[in-house]
Amino acid sequence: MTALPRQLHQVAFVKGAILLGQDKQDFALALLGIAILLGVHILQSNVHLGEVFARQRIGLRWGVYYAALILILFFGAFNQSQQFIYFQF
Amino acid sequence: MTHLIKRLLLFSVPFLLYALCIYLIDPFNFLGGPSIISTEIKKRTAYPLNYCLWKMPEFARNPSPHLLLGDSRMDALKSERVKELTGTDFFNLAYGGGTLREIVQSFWFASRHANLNRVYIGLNFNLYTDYEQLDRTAEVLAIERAPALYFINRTVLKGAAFSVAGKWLNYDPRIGAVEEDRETFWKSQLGPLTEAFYIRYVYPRKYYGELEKISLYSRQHGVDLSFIIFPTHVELQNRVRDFGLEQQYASFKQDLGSLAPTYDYDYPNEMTANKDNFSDPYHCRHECTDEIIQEVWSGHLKYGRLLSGYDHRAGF
Repeated sequence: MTALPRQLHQVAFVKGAILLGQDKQDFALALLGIAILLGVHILQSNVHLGEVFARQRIGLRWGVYYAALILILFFGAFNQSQQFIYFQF
Repeated sequence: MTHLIKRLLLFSVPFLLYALCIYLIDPFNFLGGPSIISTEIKKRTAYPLNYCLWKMPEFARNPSPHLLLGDSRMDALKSERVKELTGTDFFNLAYGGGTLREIVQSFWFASRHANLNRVYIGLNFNLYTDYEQLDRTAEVLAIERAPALYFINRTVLKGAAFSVAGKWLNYDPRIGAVEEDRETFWKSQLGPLTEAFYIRYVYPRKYYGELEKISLYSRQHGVDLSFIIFPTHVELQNRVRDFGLEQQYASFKQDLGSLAPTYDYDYPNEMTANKDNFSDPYHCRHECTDEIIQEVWSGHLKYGRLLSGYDHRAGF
């Protein structure tokens, strides 16, 4: 534990143990994704998001569709050949 | 139903326009069609984003039985110079910032596209570790299996944006450019960068096995395989001792020597003692690279030594 402050200055430690092997941008995006997931989850406990969304103007709805599609296409793990993690159980 | 189809078509217009842009820009010359951006601009703006994405498809289009693999040190080795000496065309499939994993993947990739005859692998101690898992070949192999992935690849998108900015705004992203003066850069390479390599060094049991497979394949298929350990400055050689990795370093040379003829330039000698021969502790200047080409391809070694069945007890 006493080595932690020193290790925080080591590139290899930060990349391997803190950023889990990701670069800073990807790690920040992952955190943002988790925050959005939790935010929607909390909102859904009080509001029916589907109905609220359906009442919005077409421009907003299409904007959300585009954003979602672009996120899936450009941030989806299409390059990885490993199996889904639960397959091993 | 017609209304839905119309809407779907309208919705897909931006995606179709985007695909058309990527097709016309083709930042990594992967599609091979007419491009509105010159290769000269793309070499500056897209190529350094992922060397594998440029070189591997290029190799697939023009396969060669003679191959150079490795990192930036092998990449700096001019295949034209080798051709002058030997009359043989070598394809340089080495990448800046290359890893052992990428070297292994590239060998098998090349073996699928060409009947390999002569292969030189540039491998230095800092790459010989199981810790470093960077593999830029993975996305290329995925794109090779499903070319549509080229259109939704973030590196391709970034390369396309840089290429457009490079052509019409004269933008130069200066990817990988060194901004510091030589001394500061030298110190940072010897300090933090070397620390990042050595502090988490893991003797490569996994990748030694992979190199064994390559060695075996080469013997079975008549491939003339050799390793080159490029020179590093003596100050960097001494860092091995600072991290207590002498035994692993000796094993590294012993391993390579046992797998294939190995040309070793990384030991204290006249070449590695002279700082003027190096642009930084890891990279020798092109005069030294030319000397290495001359020695390896002519067989007359002056600074290099040939390891075969290297005895690690002899030290380094």
